[in-house]
Amino acid sequence: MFSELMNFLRACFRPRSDRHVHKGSDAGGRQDGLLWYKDSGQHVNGEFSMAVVQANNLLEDQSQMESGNLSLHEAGPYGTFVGVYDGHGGPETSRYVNDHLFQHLKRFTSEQQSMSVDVIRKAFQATEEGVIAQVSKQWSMRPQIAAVGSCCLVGVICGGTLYIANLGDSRAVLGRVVKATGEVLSVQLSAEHNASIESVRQELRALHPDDPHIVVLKHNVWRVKGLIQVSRSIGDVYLKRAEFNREPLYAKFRLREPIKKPILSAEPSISVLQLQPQDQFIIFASDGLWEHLSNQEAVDIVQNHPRNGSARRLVKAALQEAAKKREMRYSDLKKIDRGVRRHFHDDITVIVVFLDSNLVSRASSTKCASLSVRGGGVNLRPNSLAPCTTPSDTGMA
Amino acid sequence: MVTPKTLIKLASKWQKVAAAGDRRRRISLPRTRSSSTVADKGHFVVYTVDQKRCVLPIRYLGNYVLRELLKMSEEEFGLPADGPIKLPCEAAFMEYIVYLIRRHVDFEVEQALVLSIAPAVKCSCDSNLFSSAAPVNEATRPAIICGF
Repeated sequence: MFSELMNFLRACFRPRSDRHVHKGSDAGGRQDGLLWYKDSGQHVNGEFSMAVVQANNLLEDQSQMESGNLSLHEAGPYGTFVGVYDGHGGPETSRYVNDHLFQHLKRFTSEQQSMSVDVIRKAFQATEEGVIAQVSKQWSMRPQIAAVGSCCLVGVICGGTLYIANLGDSRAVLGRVVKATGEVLSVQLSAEHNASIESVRQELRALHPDDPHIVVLKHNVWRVKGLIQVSRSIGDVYLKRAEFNREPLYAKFRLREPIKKPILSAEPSISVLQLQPQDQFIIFASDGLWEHLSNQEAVDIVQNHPRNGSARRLVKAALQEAAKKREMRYSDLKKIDRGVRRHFHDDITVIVVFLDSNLVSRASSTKCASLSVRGGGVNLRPNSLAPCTTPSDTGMA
Repeated sequence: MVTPKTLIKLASKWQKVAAAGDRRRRISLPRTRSSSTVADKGHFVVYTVDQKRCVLPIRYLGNYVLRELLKMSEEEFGLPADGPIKLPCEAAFMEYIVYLIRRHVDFEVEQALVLSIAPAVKCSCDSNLFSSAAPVNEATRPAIICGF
């Protein structure tokens, strides 16, 4: 009798690991092991679907879907903002971008009273400056923070116009229907900055003509200064400013020659597109997806299945491909815990934004309810299969 | 603390077991049929530098030595984008690891083993920072251990 009562009380007070997840409503997304997903939601211009799978001990991919007012004034403009931030070296920079980039964008939109390429460029710049200020502040206590960075892919849909801004190697792909045949073809919207691309290497060599080792091929992978695959990023200040490329930064990150000019850039590639009725959806994803699926494969998966759960379906397809490459079963891959999991695939973030042409063509001044969703909601506790060491969880707040 | 003497004793014991050739006690890596490229249920695959395919139970991923070898593989070869995992050691060393895991040796022994194979890697294990750089010194390669 007494033990029954104790069990009952224990059940009542047991802390739930999923307490941050809105199980019933799906409003904030759901967690299933290392997979987080929000199968369906509504943004200003249509529906969306989101999914994140964690591989690193601490999730380095961050993402957000913001819909509604894109400025601080009630007058707007209104629209949709999508951000995918693939961190490297740790989660601090991508978390910082997730917390600040959209706020900067809203501030500049308010100042200029409209959305523009200039607003987006300024928001990136302000975010980069914020990261540099944080590193300066923390340098004496945590010098390794200088070697943390993040790719940054942003999409803004406002008044029928799509803006895509990108730093690093995440990618946005449009699914566009061909009127004559009804086929849906993939159109890559973002330019990537990865040293594996010949034009990126040429750009780096042209910018650093005196440095024969500006890009180095090691084990079939091109790396800038033999250290990093991307040529543009937020953070990574150890490759941007000489004062952060010295002791006590780990020797492996320190360059022989002092930095005279930034090696990595934080200047995004921005493209602008007037959306057409035949533009069906846009897939935003970190490189974890694209190393396993081609643009057209991803577009076909979205097109040939129900909209609900599109992002989760893409993540699953990528994991099945990753399992095949590692010569194992998908069902076994899923059993591998975070940390060790990074040897089997990368963190993967996918946001599929469906475009409803009636809503897209609506004026940007049309008011609507706001929505804000962050990818990968729950921070998991360390466990037995995770690597033995855990870097400090307190980052750039 | 484990002394090198204990380690050598352990290793020579393993060698005797392996050399005895007793079918029931023989140390060998579990393998799938050569016709299949996908490992049996509950298993994962790693390759060694001498091109041997090792099919191991998923639970081995919890083993300290194996996890350290995975980290060393990342430092040495990077994370493979298009193929299987390659560990920076030879098949004989993997057999030794499998033997140790089956024998449930102390964590201290495993730690001593890892320290002996790659002291250079230890400093980078203390953080989650970057996956590249830090070449493993030729002299500290685990292949040396196989000479026990």
